[in-house]
Amino acid sequence: MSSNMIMLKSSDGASFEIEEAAARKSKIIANMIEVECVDEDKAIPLQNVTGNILALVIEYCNKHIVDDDDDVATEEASEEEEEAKKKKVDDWEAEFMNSMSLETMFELLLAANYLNIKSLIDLVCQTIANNIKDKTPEEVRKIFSIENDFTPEEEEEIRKENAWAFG
Amino acid sequence: MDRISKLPEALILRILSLLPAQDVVATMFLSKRWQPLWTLVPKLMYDDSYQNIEYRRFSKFVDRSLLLHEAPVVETLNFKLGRNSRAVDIGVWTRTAVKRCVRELIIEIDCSSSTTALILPKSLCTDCTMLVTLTLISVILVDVSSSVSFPSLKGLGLVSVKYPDDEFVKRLLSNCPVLEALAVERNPDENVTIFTIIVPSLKSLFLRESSKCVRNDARGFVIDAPSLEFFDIRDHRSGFCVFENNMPKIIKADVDVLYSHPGKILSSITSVKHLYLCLRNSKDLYPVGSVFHHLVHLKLCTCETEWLNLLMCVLRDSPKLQTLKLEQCHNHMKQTPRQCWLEPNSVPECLLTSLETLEWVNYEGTVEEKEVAAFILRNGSCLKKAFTYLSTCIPVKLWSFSHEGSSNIWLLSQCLIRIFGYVET
Repeated sequence: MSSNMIMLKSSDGASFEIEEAAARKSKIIANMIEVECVDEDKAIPLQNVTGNILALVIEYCNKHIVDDDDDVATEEASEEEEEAKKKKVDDWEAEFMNSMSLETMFELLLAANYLNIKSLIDLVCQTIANNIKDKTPEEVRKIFSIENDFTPEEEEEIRKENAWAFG
Repeated sequence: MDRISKLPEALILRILSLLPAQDVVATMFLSKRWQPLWTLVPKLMYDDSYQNIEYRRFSKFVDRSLLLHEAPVVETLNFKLGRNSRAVDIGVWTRTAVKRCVRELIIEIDCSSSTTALILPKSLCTDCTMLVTLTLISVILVDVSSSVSFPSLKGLGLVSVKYPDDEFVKRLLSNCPVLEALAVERNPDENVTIFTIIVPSLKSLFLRESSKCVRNDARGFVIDAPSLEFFDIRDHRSGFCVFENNMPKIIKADVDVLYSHPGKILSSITSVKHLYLCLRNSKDLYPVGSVFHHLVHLKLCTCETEWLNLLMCVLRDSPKLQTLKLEQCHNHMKQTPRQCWLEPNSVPECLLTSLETLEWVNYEGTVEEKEVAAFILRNGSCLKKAFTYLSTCIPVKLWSFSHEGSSNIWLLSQCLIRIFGYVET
C-alpha cells in the first residue's frame, strides 16, 4: 500500500494533509484517486465540509486506516487479539463521539454522507439513535429542540387515532 | 427548523432503522415533519420484552404498525418474542412479512421462558420468493406437504430449531438453490438424527451442537457442499461428520470435534489454507498419502492427549506450512496420561523449507512441550519468529531475526531452547 500523502481543502480554505490510505475511506475521494483527478501538488477542494468538521473526519479516518485488511489471507490473529483490538476501537469511538456536541454530530453526519464514508455514517447514526431510544416524544423534542407544530386539537386527534402506539 | 428534522430523509430513516419499533413509531408524535416518516423505515425490530409492555398491547401494536407501514421494500423484519407470544400471532405476522416481500427475516423466541411451542406457518416455507436471509431461533417448523422453496435465500441460520424429521431438513436445504451461508446449532429435542446438508452453492458452513445435548454417536452430519470455502464445526456431542464429496475450494476450516473417526473430515479438506484443529483421536486421521498442499497457517489445540501425534502427522503432510500456532484452547483433563514424545525418523519438509513462525500460547514447559519446541527450533531452518505468551497474555518475542547465514541457526536455536526452558519457571 502506498503511503502517499494527499491534500484536502475545506470549504473555508483550510488545508489538511492526509495519507492516501486514510483518505480512501471516503468512496468519493477513492473514486477521484482512481480516475486520476488528483493532481499531486493540488489540494482536493471539499465545498461542503468546513475545516473543523474535516479535522474530525480525518481524525476518524486515520484511526481506522488498517481496518480494511480484514480478509482471511492476512496473518492469523487469535480471537482474543481480535476482541482486544475491537474493544480498543470501540472505546476510541465512544470517546470520539462523546467529545462532540449534537450540533457537531449533525455536521459530521452530513460530511460523512457527502464524502460517503459508510462506517462513519453508521457510527454517527447509532449515536444519534441512542439519544432517541427509550425516550418519550417530549423528551426527544427537548433533546433535539424539535418544535411541536401540531395544534392541540391536531395532537389530540393523532393521539386518539394512534392509541395503539407507544408515545 | 431544528438540525435533526433538516437532515435528508434517507439519513433520518437510517437513524430510525437502528431503533426498536416502539421508538420508531413514537416519532410520529414529534412534529408534522416526523408524522409520516416512521412508515418508510426499511427495518423494523419488534421486541416484546422492550419497555415491559403487556403482551396483548404489544400484539396489537405489531398488527397496526405492520398494517400502516408503507416502505416500498422491507429490508429487515426482526421479531424477538418471549413467554406470552402466541403461535397464531407469529403466523399472521410472518405471512404479512412474506406479502411485503421482506428481504431479511429474523424470528427469535426466548426459549428460556417458552411454555408453548411456537409453530411457523407453512407459507414461510412455500411463498418466500424474495427472502434473502432467514434466521430462526428456538422455533418449531412443521411439515409442509407442498414443496418447500426459497429461491432467493442466500443466508440461513437455524438455532435450536425443531424439525418434523431428518427428511424435512434434507428437503428444506436442498430447496435453497442459491444458498451461500448456513449456520446451524442443533438442539437435543430437534427430532433429527442425521442432519443432511446437500447444497451445491454453499460457501460458508458453521455447525454447532448445543451443550444441552447428551453424547449420542448415532447423531451426526452428512454434507455435500462442493463449493464450500469456509467450514467451522465444533461438536463434542454427536458421533460423526461425513462429506460425500471433496471440497476443492476450501480456504479456511476450524475443526473441533470429539469423533472417534475424525479423519473423514480431514481427507475432504486437503486443499485448505488455514486450518484449526482440536481432535481427540489421531488414529485414522486421513488416508496415508493425503497431502495438504496449500496449508499455510496451522493452529492446533494442545488440550487433547493425542495432540503430539496429530501435530507430527499434519507437519509431515503440509509441505508449505508457514505459521504454526499451538494453543490449549480447552481445559485439559489432567487425569488422562499424556503422550510421550517420539522423535520422528525424518524431519518434516515444511520445517526445512517453509515454516517461518512458531507461536505458542500457554506454553507450560512440560517435558513433551520442551521436546517439541526443541525439535522445531533445531530443525526449522526458515524460522524467523518464535514467541510464546506468559500468563499476562502479552506476547513475548523470544527470537526474531532475518537469516544471514545458516551457520548461525544452530547457535540461535540452542539459545532459544534455553529461553523456552527458562519460561517454564
